[in-house]
Amino acid sequence: MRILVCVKHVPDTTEIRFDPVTKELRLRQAPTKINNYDEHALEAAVRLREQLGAEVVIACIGPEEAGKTMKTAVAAGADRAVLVTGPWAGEIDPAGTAALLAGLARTQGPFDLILSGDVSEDGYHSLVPGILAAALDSPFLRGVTGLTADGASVLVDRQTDGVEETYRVRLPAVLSVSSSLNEPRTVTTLQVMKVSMSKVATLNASDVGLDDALFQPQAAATRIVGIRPAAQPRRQEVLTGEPDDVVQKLISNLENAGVLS
Amino acid sequence: MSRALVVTQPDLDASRLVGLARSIAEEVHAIVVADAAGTAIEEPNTDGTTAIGGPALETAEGVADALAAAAAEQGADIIVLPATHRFREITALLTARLDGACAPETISASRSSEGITADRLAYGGVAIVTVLLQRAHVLLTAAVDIRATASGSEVAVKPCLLPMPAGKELMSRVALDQTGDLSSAERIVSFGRGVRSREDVAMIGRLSEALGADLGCSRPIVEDLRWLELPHQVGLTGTTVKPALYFAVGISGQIQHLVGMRDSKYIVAINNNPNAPIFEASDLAVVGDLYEIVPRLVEALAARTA
Repeated sequence: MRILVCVKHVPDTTEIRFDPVTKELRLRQAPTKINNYDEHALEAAVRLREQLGAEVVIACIGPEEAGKTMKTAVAAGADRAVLVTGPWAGEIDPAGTAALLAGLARTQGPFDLILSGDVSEDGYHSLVPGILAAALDSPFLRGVTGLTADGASVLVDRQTDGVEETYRVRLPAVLSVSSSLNEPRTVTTLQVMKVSMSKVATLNASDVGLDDALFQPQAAATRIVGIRPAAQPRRQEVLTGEPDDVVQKLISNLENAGVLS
Repeated sequence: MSRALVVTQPDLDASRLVGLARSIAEEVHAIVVADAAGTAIEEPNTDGTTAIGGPALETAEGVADALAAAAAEQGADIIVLPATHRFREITALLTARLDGACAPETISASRSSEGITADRLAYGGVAIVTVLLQRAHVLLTAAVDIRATASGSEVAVKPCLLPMPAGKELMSRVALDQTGDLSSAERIVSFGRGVRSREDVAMIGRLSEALGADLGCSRPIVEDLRWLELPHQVGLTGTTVKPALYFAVGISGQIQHLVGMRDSKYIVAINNNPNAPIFEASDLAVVGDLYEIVPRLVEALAARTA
């Protein structure tokens, strides 16, 4: 079995702040890392590799700096990693990412199973796996909470809006996984350092059969044209100080708002 | 003229989707994805409702095929869908089928000389990004509520005759235990990673009891720590809630959580980090140690009702 795990290299959103003076998003200074949700997809792939002897390849569409995320993924048990980068890397949209992943899957594949996390921590679109599945004409499920390989198909449990479903899915298939699927193994800095860069291939769009021009912001399906701090209309009162005072003020605020029984 | 297709299902309140569609389209039609044997009702404030049902609509691929056909038939250039788990899957597939420009979880949309733009939260809820949608077909999703009661004239459910998509076979479908379903709760006390150990959940439980509230939590409590079951999880991968009173205790306020609770009427956040993003979504920001505040608050609430 050959498994492709799609991972995103993201800024650590807990470290992103607006500069109160310039009103600019401090994105550049934020540390970057592998998208947490994708770590669960990687763990699922590595477990299948341990059980069945599968080959696990990591795919990432992003800036060159994502090489760090690639090495982390290889250290967690993948065989090799492929990063596709280009002048569009900082701004690419979900449809463009999915198109490049499809190109990567076609040129580096074939793959029996393509996995990723349900969402990315930064954009929260939850679009790439589904668009990729459509591009490859493969069956697709998201919210995967259980995964068992079974010959030419996989048995998949998933949760959606109050129901739990079990599907038999024919391979090749694209699945995006819930964080409740598994507990990803921890990778030490030393393990990451030991990963040889020869296991990480860095490619361009043309290497996967596509043209850079398609992914320029002007040509993309969606383009970010503005960014501003999330409105703060709610913040009406800040309570701080001695806990006993704070609690008294808190209760009188709740009474005034008419929300206590 | 711009024509929008609002997609819904019988148990959802699509009014927010209709409002979003009205803000950018002259004509708004609704399409209800129903059971073949079920019924559907006319969607209010639209220029017409159709309903479809059938076995092919059991899978997301089948629904995406049916919606692509409906969009073509009605000449719709804007498709507005619910941001539920089921429709997130469908939305991605439909975006591919229509080669559309999609903005999921939009707050608002508008028209400019350049085209349609949508505002949505990103980067952990710290920022609102404005996205220009540069394709002939535009897809938007937005949070919806469960419909309390359905009234209106009935619409016949048209059988969808598309073939069953290949590749996926449903083996079983079981309703999850929805006890403690938070979507209709009047008061909710939620907690997050600020609660240091499983034993301390009881302290949060006492606060929720004192307030007559249901217990909720953020994603890591269910998915990473497994202290509570999924029905308690508030957020993008859990339940969307809108109680009269929402307490966020020791929750930093990642976008995952914010999108699930931002429509609550009155929001109180307790956090020891004065810069926690949750405060920006709160009416009352209590900066302090939850271990000092919560027990005192429980006592004071008890004294108040005694």
